[in-house]
Amino acid sequence: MWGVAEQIGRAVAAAAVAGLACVAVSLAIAVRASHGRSAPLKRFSLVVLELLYLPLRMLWAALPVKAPLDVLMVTLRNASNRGRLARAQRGIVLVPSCLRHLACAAPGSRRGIQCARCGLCKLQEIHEQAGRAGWRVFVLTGSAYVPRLVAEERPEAALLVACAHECNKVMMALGALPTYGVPLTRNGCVATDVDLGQVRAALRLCGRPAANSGAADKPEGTGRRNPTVCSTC
Amino acid sequence: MLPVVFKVIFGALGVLSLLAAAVLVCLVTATVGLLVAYRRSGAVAWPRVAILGGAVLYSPIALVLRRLGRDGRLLDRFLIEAANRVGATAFSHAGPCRLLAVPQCLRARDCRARLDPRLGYRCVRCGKCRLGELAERAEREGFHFCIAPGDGCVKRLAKELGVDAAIGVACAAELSGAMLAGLRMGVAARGVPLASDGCFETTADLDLVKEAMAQCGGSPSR
Repeated sequence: MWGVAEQIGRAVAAAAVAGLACVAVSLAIAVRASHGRSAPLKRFSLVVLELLYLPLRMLWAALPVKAPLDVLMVTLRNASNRGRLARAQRGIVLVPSCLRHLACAAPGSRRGIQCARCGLCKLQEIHEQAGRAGWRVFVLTGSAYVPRLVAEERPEAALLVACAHECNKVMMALGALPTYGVPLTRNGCVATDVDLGQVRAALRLCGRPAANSGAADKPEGTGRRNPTVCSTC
Repeated sequence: MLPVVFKVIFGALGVLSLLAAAVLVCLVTATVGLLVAYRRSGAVAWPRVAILGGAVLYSPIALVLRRLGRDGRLLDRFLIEAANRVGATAFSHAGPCRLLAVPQCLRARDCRARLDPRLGYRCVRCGKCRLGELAERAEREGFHFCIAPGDGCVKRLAKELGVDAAIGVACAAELSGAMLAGLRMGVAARGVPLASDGCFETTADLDLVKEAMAQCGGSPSR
């Protein structure tokens, strides 16, 4: 009986060592990718980190680590998807509604906030940049929009702007669709901020279709503008 | 040949692994049983076991439900119900500082409420949606009322006010995580999942929210 227990113990110990080695290697690859260096086995690392996401996240919270796990996973996926993003001809840009100006009163719709592009917030710039790449922009108030929009738009790739946790969560949920995430520089669901340089850099990676760039990101429906917010556009 | 000490260590590890596997099998069986019973009756029999099992086995159970083509919200609703039951006593005896947080997606599509960075959307009570009515009721019951643009706003406000009890209305996926976090932090919380979600023109059973407000204990905060 003790011999059987010993065999099981050996197998468990071997599996634990192998698992820890996989996690250590995956984290090392993620850290390397987050520093912008080339790293091998990016897909393997993503699979390992995704499988162990919840326990790792709890462990991460207890460790004195500066970079959040979500940021590491987002940058790793970005590095992994760079090539696929460049090949994508039809994509969508998903940005959170919390990037809007506090005074913004743009109405909502089934396809997100109908941005009037008044220039009060950074969304106008994102619209312009995405329009040049021929990608449609959707300003979302929650992640429940994402599966609906992906089903309706059938994009070849998606650029996500969100807080690191939401960004990583949506990237994991979208699975096979090539995604690229730009985490917010200030979180908190109100008056958040993003580095436009990073958004521009991400959009420069995207494929450029010839046909639909002009009409790419016109506001949906009536496209009603809010006169109290914007008097110039 | 391994030294005897390693044989003893591996043997002990083997025994512990077998015990852990047995505990895991029991937890899986109990959680699945409770989930099936919840699906039939809408009640959670052993809420603490349900929360432990649901939290530990969340990802695999969600994956199996998706593969089976079942509604993924079932597991979240199960966890919310379990958390409501675990926290029921604390909720009914909670102190006077209380918060009612509802999501901004309950607003009408042409809502003109302004966003306050601290307090969320400030309802103008125009009557286009039912949040005005809820805000008035919340005031009468002594609740701070927050139409939240996101969970970050609720966390910040709850911390700032030092709330004794909170009622959260949200989609099941968001609410289950928040309820488990509330239990860990010791906040007496009651969760009311949205009747229809999707982040736009959502609906909730406001009678359940009013019922929860009536059940919340302590004296009013205002």
